[in-house]
Amino acid sequence: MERKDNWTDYLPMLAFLGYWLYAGLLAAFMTGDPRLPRLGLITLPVLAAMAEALRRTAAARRRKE
Amino acid sequence: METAEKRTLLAVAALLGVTVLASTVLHHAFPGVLDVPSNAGVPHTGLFSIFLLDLVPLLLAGLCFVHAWRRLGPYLAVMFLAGSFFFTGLEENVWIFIGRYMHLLAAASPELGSGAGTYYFTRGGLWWFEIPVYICLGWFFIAYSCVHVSNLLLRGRGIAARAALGGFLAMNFDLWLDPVQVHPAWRSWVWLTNEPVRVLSIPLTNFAGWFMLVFLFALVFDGLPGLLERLGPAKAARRFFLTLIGLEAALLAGFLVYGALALKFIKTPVNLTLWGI
Repeated sequence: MERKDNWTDYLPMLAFLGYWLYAGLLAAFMTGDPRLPRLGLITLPVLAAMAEALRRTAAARRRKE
Repeated sequence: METAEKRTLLAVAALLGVTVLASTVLHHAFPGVLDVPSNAGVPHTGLFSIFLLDLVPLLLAGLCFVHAWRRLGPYLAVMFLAGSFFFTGLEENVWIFIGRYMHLLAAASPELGSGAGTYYFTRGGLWWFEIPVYICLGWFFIAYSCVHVSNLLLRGRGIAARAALGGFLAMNFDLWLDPVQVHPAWRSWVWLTNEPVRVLSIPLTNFAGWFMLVFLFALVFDGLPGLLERLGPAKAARRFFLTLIGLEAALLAGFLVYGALALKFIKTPVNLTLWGI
């Protein structure tokens, strides 16, 4: 893959995190029920997995460079 | 791209496109045909809201599709999109129609036949039978991102472990998504089921479904490159979709048996809750 195309490596994680913000966090705040934004803590495992995937993708990019 | 691959992909895309077009017309113009429930009292049903609700998942699905196209090539990218769209969409459609026409099941199981239904979706611009297209696209990019991440985190491990992690990650997200989206402020979908075991007020089978759909799809998709090499694009696609249909039938049969047994033997409803949700 060309160096200039490497940004696409992040797209799956960015798409997921975008949806987490849009359909999860924003929608939870818009309900006006304070329990629902707090319930987002239950998704810590998937957030940790996404963060680790981003870290590994960045590390793989650095190795290629 | 080879001509045979191109022909197969065009056939798959055309089939999905035509069914989406027909379903959308049927849903909006002739709601009586499929007994579409009324949206009275459902918020955000204006044209702009519906356009926005369709647009955001479409853009996010586009990001994953670009990644899949570059990483896996056109054939596998289209198969992931069409396969996950079809697999999850079919499962949800069957489940919705079982609920809508549940009274017809009364002869086989009085417990199931007496139920009020399963669930239904309230709004959407484009539809695939009784599922908004944005939900099917959501399944695609959530499955794609979770399976991609599990492949990264469990590199070198067997497909069963990677698929299981992908299923777990998707289910973990839905533990939050579902309670938020069914809140009266949104009512993106409405649960009707009298299923007695619930987690955060959502039926347990929903979360089991999230895990199983992504897990099974990841298993089947992992075998597709081998099928492509052995059988060629058209036969591989047929085998791929037939396998998905077979698994679909087994999954639905399992859920129906569970539903009938749970309704018969669990007399006191159980809800595993946090903060009263």
